Amino acid sequence: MTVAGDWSYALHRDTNLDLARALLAGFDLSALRKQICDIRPGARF
Amino acid sequence: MQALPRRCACAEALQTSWALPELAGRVVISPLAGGANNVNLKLAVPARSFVLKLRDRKGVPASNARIQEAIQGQGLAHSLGVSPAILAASADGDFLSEFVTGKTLRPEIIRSDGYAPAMVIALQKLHRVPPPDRHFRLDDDIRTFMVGATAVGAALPQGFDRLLQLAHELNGIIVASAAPVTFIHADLVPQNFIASDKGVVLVDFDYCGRGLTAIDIAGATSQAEMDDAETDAFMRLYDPDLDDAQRVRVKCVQFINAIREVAWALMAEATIGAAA
Repeated sequence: MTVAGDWSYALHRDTNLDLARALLAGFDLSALRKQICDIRPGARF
Repeated sequence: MQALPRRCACAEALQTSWALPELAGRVVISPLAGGANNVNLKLAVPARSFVLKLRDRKGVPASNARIQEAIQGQGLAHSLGVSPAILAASADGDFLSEFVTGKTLRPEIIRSDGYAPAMVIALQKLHRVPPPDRHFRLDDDIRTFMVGATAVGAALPQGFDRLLQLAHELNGIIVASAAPVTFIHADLVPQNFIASDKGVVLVDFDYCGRGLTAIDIAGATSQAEMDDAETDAFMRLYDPDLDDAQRVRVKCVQFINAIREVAWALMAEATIGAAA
């Protein structure tokens, strides 16, 4: 992975830890486990 | 990291061994920002510039097979116009590529200068590269990084075990689904996008392989700090028929990728700190 500019390991760790926690707070896990497998024919991702 | 004179000596040795006509004459060598397992040098001759990526043997370890696949991946991406050409490579994984003049797409530049559509075009081209046999999975990376972090005694954030467990569980569900799989870059931090006069190009293919296309969409949007509306617009540019399941899938992969980034930072900081 690339490091540059004002970047630091600690900043990268904390930014992504905050992101993971924020995403998790918005998850309805039981619904999400089913929804992520709902693949529309022709879906590109 | 190697001191500059030693890096220059290494660069000069490779120049001699490759004997490239492009590097004939006086070459000015200067350092560039690098990664956790490599050292990047700019080699400038009067008419052109190149990047020499030297593997840093004291940095985060990477297998030679993986490094060679990364070089092949960048070559394939170049054939579709979304990566700099590779001019020469060594058996150890050091390689010389074109130097791309342009802007690194930091989040604020993507936003202010409206680069999202050009990023999507680059990704759509990249994802047409025939996928290699090697699979890329986020959970494999997480396991590798956590083994490395544990080996060097990295302190884990509070509650990280539960986040790890959930990331593995969700990754297993997505991988077992029929979600689209293509060639992917798999490390789409903003500094790996460069806006050149030929469009947006990508650099640093160390993690590329066959994987869930959603990994690149999730990585590009989350690491560029796009908000929900920006992410939605980005996804719709990529797939005009965007649906709710795709939105949920990308959020889920953003979560897993964020855990991977944390695990990598834990390992890399402790590894490089210990080697310094």
